Amino acid sequence: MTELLRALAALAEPPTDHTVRLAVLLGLETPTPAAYTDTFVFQQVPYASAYLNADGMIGGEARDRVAGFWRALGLTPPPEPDHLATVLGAYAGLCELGVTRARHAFLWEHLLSWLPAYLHAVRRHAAMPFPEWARLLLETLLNEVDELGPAVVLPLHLRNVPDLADPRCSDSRQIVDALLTPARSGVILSRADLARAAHMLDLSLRAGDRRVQLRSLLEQDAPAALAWIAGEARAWQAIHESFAEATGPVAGYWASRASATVALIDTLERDVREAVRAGAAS
Amino acid sequence: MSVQELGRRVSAARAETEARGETFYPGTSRIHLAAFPPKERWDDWVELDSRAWPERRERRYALVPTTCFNCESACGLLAYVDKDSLQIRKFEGNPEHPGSRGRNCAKGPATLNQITDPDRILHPLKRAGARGEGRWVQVTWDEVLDHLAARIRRAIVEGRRNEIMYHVGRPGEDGFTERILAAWGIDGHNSHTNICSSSARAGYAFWMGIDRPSPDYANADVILLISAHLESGHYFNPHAQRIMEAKQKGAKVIVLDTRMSNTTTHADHWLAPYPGSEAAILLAIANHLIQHGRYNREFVRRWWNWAEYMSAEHPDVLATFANFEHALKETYRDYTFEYAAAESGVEASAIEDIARLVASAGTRLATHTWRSAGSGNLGGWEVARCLFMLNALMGAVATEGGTYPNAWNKFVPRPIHVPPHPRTWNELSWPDEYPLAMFEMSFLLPHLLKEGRGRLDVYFTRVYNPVWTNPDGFSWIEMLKDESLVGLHVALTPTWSETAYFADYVLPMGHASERHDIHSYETHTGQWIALRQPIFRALRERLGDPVGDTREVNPGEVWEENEFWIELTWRIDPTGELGIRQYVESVEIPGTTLGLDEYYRYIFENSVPGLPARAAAAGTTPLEFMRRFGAYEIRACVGALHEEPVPASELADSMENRFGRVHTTAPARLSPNIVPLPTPAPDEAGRRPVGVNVDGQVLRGFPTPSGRLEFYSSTLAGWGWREHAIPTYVKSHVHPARLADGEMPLISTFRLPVHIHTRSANAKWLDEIAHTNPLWLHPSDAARLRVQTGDLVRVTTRIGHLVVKAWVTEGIRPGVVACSHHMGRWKLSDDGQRQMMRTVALRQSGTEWDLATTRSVAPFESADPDTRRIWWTDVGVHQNLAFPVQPDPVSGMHCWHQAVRVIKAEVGDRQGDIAVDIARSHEIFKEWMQLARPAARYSPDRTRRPYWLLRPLKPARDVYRLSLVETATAGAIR
Repeated sequence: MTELLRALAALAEPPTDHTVRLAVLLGLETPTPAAYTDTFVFQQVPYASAYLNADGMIGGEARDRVAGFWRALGLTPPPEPDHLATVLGAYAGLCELGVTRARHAFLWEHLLSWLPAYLHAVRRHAAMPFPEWARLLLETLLNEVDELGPAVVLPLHLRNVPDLADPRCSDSRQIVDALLTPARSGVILSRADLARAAHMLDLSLRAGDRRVQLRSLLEQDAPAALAWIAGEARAWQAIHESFAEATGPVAGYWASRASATVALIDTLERDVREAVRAGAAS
Repeated sequence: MSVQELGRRVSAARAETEARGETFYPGTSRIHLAAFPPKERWDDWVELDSRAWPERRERRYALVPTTCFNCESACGLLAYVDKDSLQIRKFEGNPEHPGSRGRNCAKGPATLNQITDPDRILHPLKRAGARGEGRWVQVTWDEVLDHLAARIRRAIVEGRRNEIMYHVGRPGEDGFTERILAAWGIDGHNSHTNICSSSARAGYAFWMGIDRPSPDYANADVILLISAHLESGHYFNPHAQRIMEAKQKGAKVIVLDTRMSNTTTHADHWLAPYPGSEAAILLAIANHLIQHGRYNREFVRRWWNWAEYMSAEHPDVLATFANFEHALKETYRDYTFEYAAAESGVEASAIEDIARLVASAGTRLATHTWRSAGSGNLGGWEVARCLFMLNALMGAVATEGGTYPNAWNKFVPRPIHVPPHPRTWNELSWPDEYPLAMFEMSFLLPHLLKEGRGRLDVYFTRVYNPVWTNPDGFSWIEMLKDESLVGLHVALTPTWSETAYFADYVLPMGHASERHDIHSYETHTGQWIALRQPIFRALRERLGDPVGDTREVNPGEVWEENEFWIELTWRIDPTGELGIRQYVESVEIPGTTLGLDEYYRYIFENSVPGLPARAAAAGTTPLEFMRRFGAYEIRACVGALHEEPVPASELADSMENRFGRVHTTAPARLSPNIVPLPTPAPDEAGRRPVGVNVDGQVLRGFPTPSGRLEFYSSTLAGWGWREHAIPTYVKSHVHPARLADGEMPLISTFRLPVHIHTRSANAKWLDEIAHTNPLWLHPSDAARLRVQTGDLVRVTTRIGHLVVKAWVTEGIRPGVVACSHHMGRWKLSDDGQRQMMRTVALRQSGTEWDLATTRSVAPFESADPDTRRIWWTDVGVHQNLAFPVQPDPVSGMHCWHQAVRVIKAEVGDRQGDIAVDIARSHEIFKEWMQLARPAARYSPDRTRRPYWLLRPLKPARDVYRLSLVETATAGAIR
């Protein structure tokens, strides 16, 4: 399985002649630069830290934890240690070394802590061949679970992640940041998701990053936007629960976060609608 | 197919591929560099036209390398030349460049703004009215060259060599212009160093002879930075990427900076000391290492000149290492954490924390200071000296992860002609009062001329803007307007500047893609060279259509600078009778000027080890290789050169002095690398220093008088500064004890990451990001002054005042204010640069000058539609105008920090207003001159300057003798 992991890792890098040959070997369509860019640059950035950090940002503590794993093995971490291609390559290296405990730890700490949800998001939106690539990668990783056994404890990343802040008790801007922070909200919202929301709700989509876009949707029609977010969170809760058998406490964590998001957003939506009604009545 | 079957298929394919000797996986390191076009496709690279989106329109490019001409890093650039329109469409990084490795800061890509600047100077101009009147006529290059050559020739023939001066801002090719000036036989090199880095250079030079540090950041465990090296350091981009690499590997970063910067936000430990107290903190750390025995005893024993120190300062004690250690403990015992805390305002526990961290670094301690604290304070040179003392204590000198002397990580290839040292000494650049200055006392020029110390017949300002950049700019204007002091002022510049307005000729020079230079900088542990080149010349040659003169391919009449100097030199001595012409003459075709292809071909074929073989392997010539790829790495991981044994062949007739310095009569090896190095004196018998005896073995050592690292400087002791013979803490001129009631220190030296001194004022992408410089004011000071962000304040210096908007921020220490470099640009009429230069009125009444805005920047129509979108009007304040000169008596550095009073603006004050009395500035010049210790009085050997110290253009040795200089001066006056 080591070589398959390496091949799948290489496909998470910008396409070249090498990756085209690998895709053919795996029976995948040829990856194009445009498909790669849309998938990994615009929609789902392939960095563990973006999904595991408590602030939803690339780098920081989550990246340092991956780097720490390299250092613990006496190796110099690469410049972007949490890039998907890098973590998969590192894991393949561990497989070859035959260090089962380290391999088990790496699998659960740095791969399965975020990849099931991430790969699902890729499958939803990406252009070919990346949905099929994501399916293959997930299947390969779940095979590893069969071999190495289940998670013993919740990965370090996912402990002590703060809850979604209730905007009624804090700075209202924080809710936007938190919703776009997968480790807190249990939800992955891509630019394509927000474009879809704008289209469905007949709202305009502002040019800008996802925070600007989501804030703009909420400012234009808060009840509708909140209802849409709650719907997304419900869908994600179901997705996470579908992994419960394979990834146990990790899936449980993600599902509980999505569930808490549903509860909070439902409440907010109710409050906002009542406020709108009260305003209209007065 | 199952995943198991797929796995087997990939394994089989890999085995088959690798059996053929081919690469199967591209490797994960490609994540970064995959974005770069592979170099084998640089002749024909296809990209989609972003402006045509959503249509997929392909554009074909030729990719031609050069190096950036904005800051000193000389990062690699790749020009994307549209093959249809033959226009440069963009600049990106050159992945082949060993220093920058394909990465750039904002200033690199903004080269495109500079070369397409609608306001740039495209033709030689001559003033039509009075100097500074702003009226110009276009002239031909021939007219300019003939006029300049005749005037310079007359000065040389009439023995007025010291009336020719070249004053450089951004350096070009290492040593090129110095060699031109040496060919003319003049000591006419003047630089910007004393408003930039003199103090840092002095601090490093007194330790190791070499005046610049070269930290191996990437391999460090602990990085200690004085100021904002991550965002605006001297080698900002190449250093920043290596600092971040180290951080990713777990290194800890310590930053000392009074002001919150992007660098402090990336630090593990940030100390914000009171300005000028940095050396006290560093000595407290040193004291911790010394008192607790946490230093590298073996390194100190082997490499410090402790025996010389004991002999000089403790002659009654047996000069053993144990006794030295005892003396060291006694000497530094008072530099406690509490003492440093009292001086700096930083908690003692915070200083102790970083002392422990430094102690844990071993030989992987990388440290760096360049301008900042060193350039701000009286005695600032001790900051660099005390900082390097930490490396010297830890043995982190030229180690992996430590700090190198820069010359070991730099390669300056020997050129085809090397003229001899000039036989004259220019007292306008090297006045008697500053025998140890590093280097020319450039910023004193108006005052020295005012005192009647000489005059200039031809004065070149070359990519330099002293009216704006130097302190006391009104004195510069007064000097430049006085034709009896400056006979002819020639501004060589790619952009309009405040100085160019006061020129007789404004001559257009090229930007990064329009000029040649070879560069090599100490960006990491390795030696590399890079070629800056005119893009279209290289492209034409690639297409088989060689270009003889770069003006054929540059915009307008913009010239390649090296060709200009060669042609000018030829016209000064067209027959060769003055002995000058030979240094710019072709060897291949005698009797003709040296062409640049021949000049560079010689260098690349003869002076760059390994390049001819590398080029041959690529199937090309060395010159073509450099034109095609732009850079070449000569050597990686240079290592500890001081530890290299001196071969027996170099030890013929050698003699060793009592401190182990070894001299020899064997001739020196002729190195292809002519990187400037100090030249320690020969012994009494004329033997040259070759090494130093360390534990019975003669090692190469350091280029210092002792051959060791000089904890004790016999130079300082011998030239009247015995109290500074070992690293000490000097209290700054802005020390609280020296401030009057109500005065605060003003920090004015910090730079913004997106600008380059004064040449980026029309770089629209950069201007939009940063275009003004408010006064940083702590909330507690703002409350005391009843000032809010955006309010105007008046900042009074000792010679005048400036008016500026306040920015209330927690990012500055209470009791200290700060205002950035780059801003407050101005022009005298609506012509000239219009994106960040407001129009002003200059008024003079006796010795009182003032400057006020008459028209702010505004949108305007041009070939570039973006100039219609200028949305800012506030371009800040030109604060340097209101600063007096404050020369440090040892390093010669202008001590930039100012003692100021800040009050709310008065009625009638407007943003950017300046008022100065230059009579007062001359008085302050005299006050600071009183601190100096002149060579005539203090020189231990009747010379003007210790010969061994670096000097950019070194006169012949006998010219150093005071008596000879005096005779020559008297002769010139006669």
